[in-house]
Amino acid sequence: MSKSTISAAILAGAVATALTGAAEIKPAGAADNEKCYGISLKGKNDCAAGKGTSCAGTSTIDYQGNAWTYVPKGTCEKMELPGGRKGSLKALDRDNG
Amino acid sequence: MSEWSKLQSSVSNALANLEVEVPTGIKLLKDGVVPKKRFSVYRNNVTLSLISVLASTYPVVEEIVGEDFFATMAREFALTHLPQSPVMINYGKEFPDFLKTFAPVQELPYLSEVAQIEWHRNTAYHGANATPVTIAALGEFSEEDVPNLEFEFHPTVSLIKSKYPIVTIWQAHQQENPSEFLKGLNMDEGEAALIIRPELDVLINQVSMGTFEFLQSLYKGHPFSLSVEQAIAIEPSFDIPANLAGLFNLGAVTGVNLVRSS
Repeated sequence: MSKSTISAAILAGAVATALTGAAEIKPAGAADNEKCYGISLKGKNDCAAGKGTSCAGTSTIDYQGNAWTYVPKGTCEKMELPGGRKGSLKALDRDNG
Repeated sequence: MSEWSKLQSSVSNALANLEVEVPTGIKLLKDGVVPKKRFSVYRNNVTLSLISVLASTYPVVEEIVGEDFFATMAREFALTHLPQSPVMINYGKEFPDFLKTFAPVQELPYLSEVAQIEWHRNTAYHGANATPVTIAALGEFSEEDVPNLEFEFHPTVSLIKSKYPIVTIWQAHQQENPSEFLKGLNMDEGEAALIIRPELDVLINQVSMGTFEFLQSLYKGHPFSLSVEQAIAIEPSFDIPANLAGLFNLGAVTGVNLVRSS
């Protein structure tokens, strides 16, 4: 390992400063243990159950590969990329073979 | 191969291969019921469930492209990536990489990395619990030992960096009206994050590029001194005490060890 360009004294000093400040800061998660059981993974606390969780019971295959006439209606249209490119998508001509 | 496993592989092959109308070995049981139609119902349910799993793991990607577009895209993914395990929480790992090369979304180059945040969030959520150490652990070492300290990270920690503002994009989509938060967003500004689940909730912490270098170096097992140097190299104003405090207060460190350098 090459010789450190930062001295041990500087690093130890930084650690000491961090330790001094630490007294004012709660240890990690100490206050979080009282959380209720509303454990959420999804961003907006929405219910995990939804379409597709029950038997869809149809022989019609949705979202066929030739369905690229769909135009995205999401937030991508609001995000403009550098170079003036629009963030929106175009329907793509696809080979449906 | 037994008859049963032959039938199984014929069915799983037919699930993703739309040209196969009915898997070999599937027989007509009742008069008047066309096996082709029955199998289509089955295949359709499998596909829709997989789309649904992807939508629940990647809700922000779904919001970015819209529900219909997402479903179409997820279906293409599902047909080429059937589950390799019955555990659905592990399904969809390859989705971010798929987005990187999937032609219809090439105009949204940030999409794959936003998806990566969502995947890390998923794995952090289901990751192992661990007990972090407090910053007091650093106080046990002498001045000459401090440079050679190595940090052990909480098992749910992951780090991500992008040349696009992916953390802001993700955060905007936690709001009721993401578009308002995205107004005027500079898409040229890269962002980084530390993802962790210290307790019950997954945290997505935006970090500076200097902090990212610091963390990534420590995460790879490099010593404290080298990691600080890496951070300062790209962020001269890198605040060592603040970063140490932040890291420990997140509960991201589960151990500090001294490694003697030769």
